[in-house]
Parts: sequence; C-alpha cells; structure tokens
Amino acid sequence: MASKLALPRRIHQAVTPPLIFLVFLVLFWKLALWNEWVSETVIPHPEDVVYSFVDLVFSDIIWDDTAATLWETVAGFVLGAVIALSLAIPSGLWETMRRMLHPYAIGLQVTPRIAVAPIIIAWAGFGYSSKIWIAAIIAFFPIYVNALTGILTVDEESREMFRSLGASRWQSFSRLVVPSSLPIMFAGLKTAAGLALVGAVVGEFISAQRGLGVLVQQFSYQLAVDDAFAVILILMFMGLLLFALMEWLERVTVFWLHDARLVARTRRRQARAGKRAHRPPDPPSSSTATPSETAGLTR
Amino acid sequence: MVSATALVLAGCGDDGASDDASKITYSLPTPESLLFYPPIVAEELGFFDQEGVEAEFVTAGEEIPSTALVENGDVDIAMADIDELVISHARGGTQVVPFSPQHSNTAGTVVPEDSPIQEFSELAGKTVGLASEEDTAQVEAQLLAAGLSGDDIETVVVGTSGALVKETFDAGEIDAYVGARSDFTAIAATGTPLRNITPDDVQAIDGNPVAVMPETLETKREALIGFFRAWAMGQYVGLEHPDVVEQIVREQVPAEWRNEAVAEAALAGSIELMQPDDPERIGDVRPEVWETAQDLLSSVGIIEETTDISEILDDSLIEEINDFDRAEVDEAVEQWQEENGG
Repeated sequence: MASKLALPRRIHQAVTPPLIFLVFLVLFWKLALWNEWVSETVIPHPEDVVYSFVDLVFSDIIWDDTAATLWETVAGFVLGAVIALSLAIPSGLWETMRRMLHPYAIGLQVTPRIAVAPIIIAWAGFGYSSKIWIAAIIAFFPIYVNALTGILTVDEESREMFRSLGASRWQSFSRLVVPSSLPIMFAGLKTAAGLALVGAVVGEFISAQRGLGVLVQQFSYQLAVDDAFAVILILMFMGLLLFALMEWLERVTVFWLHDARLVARTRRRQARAGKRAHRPPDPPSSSTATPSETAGLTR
Repeated sequence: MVSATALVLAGCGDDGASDDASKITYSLPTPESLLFYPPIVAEELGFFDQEGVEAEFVTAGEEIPSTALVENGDVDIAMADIDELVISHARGGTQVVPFSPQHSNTAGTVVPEDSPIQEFSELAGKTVGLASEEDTAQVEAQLLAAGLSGDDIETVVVGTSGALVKETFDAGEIDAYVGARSDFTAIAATGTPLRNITPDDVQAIDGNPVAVMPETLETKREALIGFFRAWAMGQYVGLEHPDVVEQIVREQVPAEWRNEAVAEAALAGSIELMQPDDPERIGDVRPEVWETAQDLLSSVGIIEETTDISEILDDSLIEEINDFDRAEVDEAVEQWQEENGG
C-alpha cells in the first residue's frame, strides 16, 4: 500500500515543478510577443509551435530525418566513448601517457567545431560517417576528462589497503579503480550524450541530405519558423531521452549510489545466501582462510 | 576494439566518385530541393535510366569549395560559382565547365518595393545588408558596374536568416540587401515585397555552372553527356510543364511545401533562373558572360591576373546534350500525368 502511494507521489514530485516552470516560461514568451519585444517573424507563438509539432509528428515528413539524426547521435556517442575511454584509462594508470595525450585532448576541445566540420566532411565523405565523426569529436572530451578524473581521484587509503592485501594490478583496477571512478565517468557520459546530438546537428547544417538539422534549415528558409521551432522541440525531446537513458544506465551500473537499488540488490544477495544456508555443508577446508581470501581477492 | 568500432561506423559513408563508367556522382549546394528541380524531375520521369546513367547525388554544402570536391575526386561533377572557378584557374586549377543550366545570377541586390531607390547607382550613402562577409566582393563588383566604389555605401552583415532579413528591412535598418535570390523569394512571399536592382550585366552572369575535371570528362564522356541530357530534359519539363514539376516536387520534397506561398514563388524563381538564352541550347556556356565576371573580379582586386576563359569553358557537349526529341519528353510527361492523376 505504501509503495502504491509512493509511485504517484514520486511522479507528482518529478513532473509538477518543471510544469510550473513551463507555465511561467510560456507566459513570458507570450508577454514578449504581445509587447513586441520580439517579432513573431523571428519567434513564433507557443501555440503555433505546438500545432506544428503535432502536425509534423502525424505527417510523413519528419520520421526519416529523425531516424537519421538519432543514428548519427548514438553512433557518434558510442564512437566518442570508445575512443575517450580507451585513451583515458591508460592515461589514468600511466603518467607518461597522460602527459603525452592531455594537451591534445584539450586542444581538440577548444578548437571550434564549426571550423573543423567542413574538413571532417571532406575527409569522411558526405554520408553518415562525417556526421558520426563530428558527433564523436564533440562527445569525446567530457567522457575523457571525467574518466581520467575518476581514475586519478581513487581514495589513496583504499589503494594502500589493496596493495597491503596483495591485490594484483588487475584486481586493483577491476575491484577498486573501476567502481570508484564509475560515478564521475557517468557524469561525463551523460553530458556527452547531449553533446553528441549537438555534433550530429552541426554536421547536418554543413552538409547532409537527411536529418533534423536539414529540416530546421529548410523550414527557416521558408520562414516557417513555427515548424523550425517544432523541430527544435523534437531535438530537445531526443536529447532528454538520451539523457534519461544514460541516467537509467547509471542507476543500473552504479547501483550502490541509489538507495532503492542497493536495498533490492541486498535483498537478492540475502535470498541467495539463505538458499545456500539450506544446502548440506561442504567438507571442512584443511587450511585457514587468508586475509586475501577473506577480502575475496583470491579463492 | 577502437579500430573495429571506427571501421564499422566510418564505413557508413559514401566512397566518393566511382570508377564505374556509367555512374555519375554529382553535388549541389543544397539537399534535394525544388531550387534544383531538373534532376528530381529527371529521376521521377526515368530520364536517367533512359540515358543509361546511374546518378548519385551528394550534398556538399556551401562551406566546402566545389572546385576542391571535383579536384579531389570526391564527386564527378559539382555546381560551383563563376568566381570560384575563375579564382581556381588563376591559381592553377584545371576544372572545366561543359554545362551551365542557369543563365541568370542566383545572387543580387534588392530593395523594398516602395523604396525610392530605383537603380543600384542610387545606393550612394545608403546602408546595404550582406548575407555574409564573402558578399563584400559581390557588392564591390556591382558598385563598380554602377560607377560607384566601396566607400560610397555602408555595409552590415545581417546573415541569411530570411526572418531576420525581413525584420531588418521592416525596421528600416538597411536600405538594400545583397544575397541569394532564393532568400529574396521567401522574404517577398511572406509580406515584404522586394524589387531587384542588380545591374544588368551582373544579373546576366551564370549562377552555378557545372565543373568537372578534364580527366573525368575524357573517361566518362558518354555518361556525362547522358547525365546532362537527362538534366536538360528535366529542365525542359520545367519550362513547358511547370505544373507537372510542381506536382513532382510536392511529392519528392514535401518539407519545402510547409509554406505554400514561399514554395510556389521559389519554384517559379527556379524555373525562371533556368530559362536558357536559346531554348535549343539548354546549359550553353557563354564566354561573354564569363569575361564580364572575370573583369569584375579583377577590377576589385580578387584576382591579379586574368585567365583565358576558353580554357575554362567547353561547349563541345552542348549539341549532343540537346539532341533529344522534345515531343517525346512531352509524351513522357503526359503519360506520367495519366498515371499520377495529374
């Protein structure tokens, strides 16, 4: 009964504050248009955006372009994450590599993408690959820097304890470094998911035949600004969806940071332990367990 | 894992121009658009198939020089600006132009219809909005053609956003705007009537001639003739059956018809741009127009040495390109209309 009441309350707590803010935002938007602080040629009325959004969603116009942008974003994010993690992990473990790569990673971050994008398109071609690479490049830095930070800020006392218990490098890495750095790593992944979408759209603005970026340009050219804003709304929902997906993945992976999941996982472990307790006991061992065995580092 | 991921994802792209003799990869400055209706019509009415050509379209965008695309082999042919080609040749480029479908400039200068300014020469002392900083040369060339200089006007970059340009005109912040005719169409169709005051000799300069490397012209000659012929047939359909072209582009590029008034005006403008000087020589290359363009570029200092225009233009394909039965094209159109309820 308590859990049944808790869900609607959680939904209410999650949805109501943003809705209230949305109401204020729309009122301010209408106020700006009524007082001609901004022209409706440039910024359409919010209800026109909603009508266009519904019209486009139920038309055949946007779905191929939405799929194209989504593919570029997801593929770019995966590519950027693979490259970033592949470079961040060795950089975190070996100082020499960190010193070698760090300036270039920062250089890549501060280089204006809009200047580099035509070069990438000329190199990677006109299809999806150029947009995927642009998305990957933009997604790279937050993942790299967060993963690197996570690895470098592992608790020194914990490292020392693992060393004193005779842990191998792999054991230290897999049982300490990775779990410790995952929360910060996921912060970078969540940021990068949205940035990958930005990169895909930037690539589409420069050269593409399909994509929501192309649609925004086509609608803007026709002065169909309500349609253009509706497409921007679709992009926003896509970004929110990707962020929510990363948050879900984080809750599943870094479960120990989330009370409900930790409780559920503890209960599952207790259930398994209870089943083992009802099995016949194993024959007694001839040797006493070492501290390493106690820590689960050796069998 | 990194290499595998990169290879898989990067393999999703195009391979550029193909060695297949019957395949032509071509680039346009925009995604598929009614502004460049001939290949859309040619595809729909089966003209490419009829010519035995596989036409692959890629969008290069305006930030990537078309001359570089053909030179690198990324595409077989690309639409380029006259000034881009002349500048490329002045620096040693070897691209040639065998086909030029637009016998009118795609850029120009406009004023509000009720403006007291009637001619370009009356812009002295006025504020002129530019689409981008790159249009400064275009403006200077037009000023020179009108007997003025760059010091006679004030320029401000307002960008290419139709909404913003319209807003700027309505607020009286600019007296004239230099940009693409497609932008003028959109602005005019949405309640700000405009008048074109581009000097006549600048207006006559070709918009978007087609560039190709001499080597490609030699190795893929027959396919190129077939491609251009199919394009010319599509262009002819626009000249003689604009209603059919409208029906086709409504279906093929529905996103461009969200604003009906703008789309109709843009299509009419596109068909007008593709009116050939001689209906029997669609895509003809006109040396006198190119000489004018080069003279203007030279006079404003964009190029220091002029090029022999005959090294750029190649009209050897024009007769073969136009060697198609116009009556057969009309029949194909009628058949399409019967099949599609036109």
